[in-house]
Parts: sequence; structure tokens; C-alpha cells
Amino acid sequence: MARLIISEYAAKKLLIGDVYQGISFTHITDFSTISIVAGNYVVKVDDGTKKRNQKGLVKIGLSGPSAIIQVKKFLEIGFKRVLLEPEVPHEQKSEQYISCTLVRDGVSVLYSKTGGNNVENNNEVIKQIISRSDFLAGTSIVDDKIPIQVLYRLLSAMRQSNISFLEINPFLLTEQEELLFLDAAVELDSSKLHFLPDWVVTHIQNDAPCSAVERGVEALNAQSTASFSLTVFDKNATVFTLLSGGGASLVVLDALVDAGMQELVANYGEYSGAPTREETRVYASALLSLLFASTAPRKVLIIAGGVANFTDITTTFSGIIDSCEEYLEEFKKQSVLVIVRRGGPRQAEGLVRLTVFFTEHNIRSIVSDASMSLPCVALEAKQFIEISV
Amino acid sequence: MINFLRNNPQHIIVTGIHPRIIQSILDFDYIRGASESSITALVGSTKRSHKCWFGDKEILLPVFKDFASAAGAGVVADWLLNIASANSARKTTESFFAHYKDALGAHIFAEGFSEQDALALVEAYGDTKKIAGASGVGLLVPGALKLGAVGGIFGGNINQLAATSGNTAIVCSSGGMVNELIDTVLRAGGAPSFAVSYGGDRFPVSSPLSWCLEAQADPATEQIIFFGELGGYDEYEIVTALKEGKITKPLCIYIAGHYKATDTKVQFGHAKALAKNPGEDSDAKMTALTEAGAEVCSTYIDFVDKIKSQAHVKKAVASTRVWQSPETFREHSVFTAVKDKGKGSDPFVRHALCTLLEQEEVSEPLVTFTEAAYSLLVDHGAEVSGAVNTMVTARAGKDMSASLASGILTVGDRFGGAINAAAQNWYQSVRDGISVEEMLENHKAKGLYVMGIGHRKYSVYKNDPRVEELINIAQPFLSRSIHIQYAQAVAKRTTQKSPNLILNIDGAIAAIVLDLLLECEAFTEMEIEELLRIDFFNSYFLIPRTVGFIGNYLSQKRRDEGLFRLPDNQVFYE
Repeated sequence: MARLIISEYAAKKLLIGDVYQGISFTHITDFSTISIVAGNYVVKVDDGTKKRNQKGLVKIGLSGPSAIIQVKKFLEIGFKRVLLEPEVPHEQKSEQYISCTLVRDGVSVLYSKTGGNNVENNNEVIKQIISRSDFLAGTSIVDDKIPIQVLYRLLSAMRQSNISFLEINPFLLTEQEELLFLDAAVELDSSKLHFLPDWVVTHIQNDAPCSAVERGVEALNAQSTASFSLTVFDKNATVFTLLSGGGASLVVLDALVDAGMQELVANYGEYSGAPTREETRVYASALLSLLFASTAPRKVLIIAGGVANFTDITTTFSGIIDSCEEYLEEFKKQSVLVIVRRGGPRQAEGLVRLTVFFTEHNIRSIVSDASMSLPCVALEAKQFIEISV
Repeated sequence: MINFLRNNPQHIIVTGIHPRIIQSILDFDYIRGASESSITALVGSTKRSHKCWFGDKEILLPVFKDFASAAGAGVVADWLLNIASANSARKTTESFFAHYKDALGAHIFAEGFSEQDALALVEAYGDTKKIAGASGVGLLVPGALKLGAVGGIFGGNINQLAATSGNTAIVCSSGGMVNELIDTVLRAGGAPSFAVSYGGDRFPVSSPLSWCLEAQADPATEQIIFFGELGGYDEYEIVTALKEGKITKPLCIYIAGHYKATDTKVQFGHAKALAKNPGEDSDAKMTALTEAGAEVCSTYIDFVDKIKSQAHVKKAVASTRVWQSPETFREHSVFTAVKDKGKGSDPFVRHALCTLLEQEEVSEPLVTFTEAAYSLLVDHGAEVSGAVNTMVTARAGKDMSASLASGILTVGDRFGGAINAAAQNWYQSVRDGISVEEMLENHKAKGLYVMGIGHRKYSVYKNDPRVEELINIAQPFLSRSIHIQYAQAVAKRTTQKSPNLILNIDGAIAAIVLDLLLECEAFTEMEIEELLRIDFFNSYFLIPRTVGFIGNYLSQKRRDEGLFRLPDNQVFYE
């Protein structure tokens, strides 16, 4: 993962600091401990759901007690995170917009004095690049079009918390030059997450509902020097992928898509960086558990990758064999074709071991080295599925 | 630049230790016919050397703790292979270029390198250096340079890539796919002119375009294969360059990431592989590149077919060796040793010094001094702790080696083992220009004794005659004697505090040997520092005193008085 979306609460807390008055709820608690003052409150669903306004997931103008009731309601419905904060009374025309995106040349800034509607095509939107050197060095920027104190504060927050993208839509600048963020979105650079306070991690928004198996792979990835990823598209689909390498895994997925099989693909699964035998076994078992749980009548498992530079094929394939041994009963019960295509260090031994294993256990398989072109795995899968239909 | 690399020997420093990648570079170097390894040193480990194979011979690559010491030792480098972790990769890269200002570039291997660290490197080196990564497997110029795991780590393609070169440049985001494409080109009967994985991060330090421009400028490159993927906007720089006519060589492109996510965006394997904004998806990139005139393959099958149909060239690299990179990682010998450099015909002391210093020759002054020092330190007076131990053990009926060992085991900071510590102190104080006062203050503040100062028996009133004698032997051979002078200045100050804080024999030998090594043996600072680190100076006590202890042992055995027991009144019970 590279850019991580965090909750609105976390975004504001990182940008504003400890003076931020919002409270984030993830479960129903003893609300009596929350100090409510006079004035109105806003309650928002804060779990990454898009288009909250249209969906009625932002409630404004609530008194303290009714705001608490609203928090409870949202949680009871099943929303994972709810934000409560004091409402800032203002006129809509005073709403302004700004976003900052880290780009190769520095920071790309979009600013609109008239709020965030239709930012892409609004003539009044000012687009500006803060140069890489100015951004990195924190040089003060002279510009009369964008409120400088706002920009300066946001750029410094980007440096400090390794923020890759932020959008404040809208913000207010009071006559006393007080800066108020009504809504904020932030994406963090995952590679520096461990430098941020621990609470931030609990505020990462997972786009897709994450299954236990996917979470297991996430944990494996966190503990290993190798890398593992797993995204389930459709748990009852036909084609399961156990791929190696960030690039080659895309090529295999492309080949399936290009062969018109996108709907048949159950998952995107990728490992790389020379995992150990045991790590590979754990990862492969996660995938096999999904494969055998799928309700599809016949299934294809694609174990494929390019010609590895330094991932040891014998080691990783031994891990895959270890994992298949756990599922021998399932292999007998279900109709599965395993397609293997891989090259790299110690490929000969690895491929032979796999072939022998599949033959001994009567598992239907096609095993090839790099002499079979990478996208052929998709064609083989297609053939198997079409014949079986 | 690529062509320059083919015609000039390149030197690599590696930081972080990845034995298989390092070995693969040496295999590549050996096959391409290099006289020595392109890796000149490793940096950033506590080890002193790293064992590798160069062909069928084992060699040791020197290891330095940092780039400053590597540069100080005269290690040359044109490239950094940075296999350090993502967290330290920026710092190590900056440190490398600070010490190797004229170096050409680097490869950063780590995944999870932060976007802002990447931008900082782009800012600092983007215009002047070539940096492949972060992430990926590096840069390969067949027959010339292997900077990273690119091309594999053993066997297979390394043999071909070291010995043959072609006309197809491969520029690829992915580390795995660059090797896959190398393999595809080799199977098509060609070979790369060079191959690079520029990295799967959002901000590769040297942009994909910059590598395409290298290909354009390289006379050996006649066609370019480009593999990109969804995420980021780097490909649009290529679009602009194509439109401006900056790339005219045939450019064949594949952009990976055809999966259309429905409502959620999918993060694929590489850090940048997420299409969130307009233009970041593979379709948009393919359309723009096609319009700009590149040959864009819409499926990977087409891409492979296109590569197969290209006009390939495969030329042998001159002066290669006939040798195959083995298919597995080779085991190493357990120990590394040196043959005795002394000659059997030499007198004992000369031979001993050759052995200890690993030198073919040693100077006459050092031999003369050492002869005298050994002779003085044989001293088999029976009162000292080591002699007592030896005698007690001998009388317990034990043999020579047990008795000697029990004596030797008493040698340490308090008894006989202070020469090295004293030498360390004299050497560092002189090297760093620390005044006598300052050094004494430092010791006092830490509650430490000054090694080589003080004697239980001798004092300013009763000089240690051995110290004077040794200094007198060495003095005529020395013109500067900076360490002797420093040690004497220390003693002059300490004896003002207490009369028995004189320069003792340990301190004197330490200072004299330092001066002799510098002035008569022409040892460098690094060589002296190594001798200090490995305890060499204590050999001045251990060698002669071994003779003394054996003397103690033999005299007890000759007159065997039976098992020794302390008289009852010699032990006080609390």
C-alpha cells in the first residue's frame, strides 16, 4: 500500500493539532462522560463512505443531546466510525476550497475562493505548483492569489506527517484570520506510518470490506521482509491467482481481462521479494482456503510469475507444496486445474518438485517454465473453463 | 552515458549485504572477462571483509563502516548499489554522493521508500546522476555493468548477459518484468543493449523518460521496449518527448493494469499501482502514447509477438571467459588464513614480527627494539600474579600447557595486558590533537586510570631502568617520536601529582612501537588502527612472558615440593 486514506477525524487532528475539538466514535460507549456545551453540533459518518451529503450521512444543527443520539443511531446501523464536532456557523458563500497533491515537481495546489463545486472545470480555480525545492526546504512562498498562511500551514503539515494528498473542502478564514476546517481528507504515505503516533493507524480507511483471510495476509505482510498482498474481487468466482512480482502479476491479470474473463477472476494475489518457504506456505494456504470455499463448480488456480531475479523458485514452490498437502482432501473432492508458469533461480528443481507432487496426487495441472509465454496462462484457463461449461 | 559504461571499467560500492546479489555481480564480471570484481567495497557492516567467489577462486571484499572510511582508504566508486532498508536508503545515498561527488549514479533496491525522500533525491541528484529505483532490481549493461539483481542471481541468463550484447533497450517499471523481458528478448534471438527497472514507486528518482533518452542517445540501441503500468503520470513525459521529436527510435510500449475496478480502486503490487485520478489508468496512458506516435500493444500477447518480430542483433563481448555461473549458491570455506610471511632462515624475533605483522620484511630498528623488549619482559621473577599461578599449578602436578595457561590467564588490564590499551590512548590522543591536560581530565571525569602510567615499585625517586633502556635503543632510529614525547609529557604531569605515576614499561613499549611502525615500517593510520583493534601490542608481553612462565614451571618441577596449600594464618575469614 502506498497512499493511505485516513478518517476525517484523523485528517483534522493531524492538520489542526490537539486543539481540534472533534470526537471519534467506533462503538457505543458511556456517552455521559462527553462534555457537551451550548451550541450546535455536527455528526458525520466517518468510515470512508463517499457522497455522505447526498446519502444523508451528515447531520447538522443538532443540539448536544440530540447529536449524541444521532451518533448512537449511526453506530447502531453499523457504520464503523462516526465523528462528532461543534458546528461552525457561517455563510455558504464564505466557504473556500484547497487541495495539495505531492507530484514529481513539488506540490500541485488547487484553490478556489468560492468553494469546492466543480473544481476541475471552474474558471475561478487557481492552479499552482509549489516547486519541489520550495516545498522540501519549507521556503516561505510569496503569492497573492492563495491565502499564504493557509498554504504554509498545510505544506508544513505535509512535510511533518508525510502527507501525499490533502483536500480541505471547505474551509473558512474568519475576519480574525482564524482558519477553520469544515471537512478534510488526507492520504498518508504508508512508508512513514511508523513515525506517526500509534492512534493514526486505527484511522486508516479500508476501501473494500476486508475479510479475515485478507487481514491475515496483511498481518503476514507486516511481519515479513518479503511482500504479500491479497484483494478479493468475488469470493465465488472461478479463477484464483497466486502471482509473483508487482509487474508480472499485473500482466497475468491483464491477460485474463483481455481474454474477456474479468468477471471470472476471484482475486488479485501477489507475493514478491524472496519469501521463505514457511511464509509462502502461509500465504498459499490463505489462497487455497478461498479457492475451496468458492461456490464455483470448477476452478482454476494460476500460480504464475516472470523470470525471477532473486526469488528462489525451489524454496517458494516447496512452500506451495506444503500448503497443497493441507488441502489434498479438497483437491480430490473438487474440480480444480492448477496452471503454473515461472522462471528464475533454481527453477528446474522447483518445477520438477511441483510436477511430481501434482502427478502423485492426481491433481490436474499444467506446469511450465518461461518457455510458455506469460499470457498463455489466461488462454489455458479459458480453454479449461469453456470446455467445462 | 550508456556507451561510456561499455568503454570504461566501472566500480561499485554496495551498502547493505545481500550475498546472492553481490555474488551474481562477481559472476557477471568474471564471465565478461574483467580482471577484477567491479565491486570495490561493501559499506555499513561490522564485518571487516566479505567472502565471495571470483570464478572458482575465493576472494575477500573489504567492508567499511561508512563511506567516509571507504573514501579515506582510497576505495574508488562510480556507482552505489544500495541494498539498505527503506528507512536508511536516503541517508546512505546522500552520504555516498557526499564522499563520491563524481560518481555516476546508484540503484536503490528497497521497497517502501517514502515519496518525500524520493523527491528529496530527485531534487538533489535528478539532473546530475542516474538513479534506478527506489524499488526494482537496477541497471544492466551487458558485458559491462550489472548494478543489482537485474538479470538474475545465478545461472541461466547471467552467462548470456555477461558475454553478449544487443540492440534493444529495455525500460521497465517492474523488477520482475525487466528480467522477464530480458528473457523474452534472449529467446527472440536478441540481447539487450541495456536494461533498467526504473522502479515501481510513484516517484522513481531518475524518471522513465530519462532512461528513454539514454536509449535514444546510445549508439548501440536501435529499438526501445517500454513496460509501464497504471498509476502516476510519468508516461505523459514520454508523450511530450515523442511529440517534441526527442525520441525517434522505435518505441514499443506495454502499459499494465487493464483490470477495471467497479466501485473501489484496487491497489496492485507496486506502490504507485493505483489509478485514482483521471489519466492514471492504463487506457488513458495507452491512448496518449499511441497518439504521440509510439507503438502501443494493447495486449501482452501482442507485445511478445512484436518483440519476436523485431530485428535483433546479438554480438559477442570481447575477451570473455569460458565459464558458467553455477545454478546454486556456492558454499564458502570456513576460515580465511594467510601463509606465514617469515622465512625459516630468519632469526626468531625477525621471523616472529613478519608473522605477526603479515609482512615479508621488517626494518632493522623494529627487530633490534623488539629483541630488547622481549628480552626485558621474559622476567621470570616469581612474585607476580601470573608466575604465582603457574607455580601453584605446576605443584598441583599439572603439565606444562595447563600451568602455562593458568599463568597466561592472569594477563589483563591489571597485569601485563595494558600495552594495547596504552597504545590506543597514546595513538588517539596524538591523532586527535588532545592535549595532555585534556586527556587527563577526560580520564578523571570517567574515573579511569591512564594505561601505561604508574608502577608499584618504581617512582621518580627510583627510575624504572628498563624504560630508559628501551627508549635509548629506539631513539636513534626515530626523527619525530611523537608518541614517545606525548607519553613522556603525560608522565611529567602525572608525577607532579604522585611520584610513582611514572611512565611504566607497558606505556613505554606502546609509545615506542607506535613510533617505530609509523617511522620505520611506514604503516598507514588505517593499518595502525587495525593493529590496535586486534590487540597486536599485547603480544609484546605475552610472547616473552610465555618463556618466563615456562621457566617458572620448569623450576617448580625440578624441585618438586609437593602440592601447595596456603598456611592457615594467610587467609582471613570475615
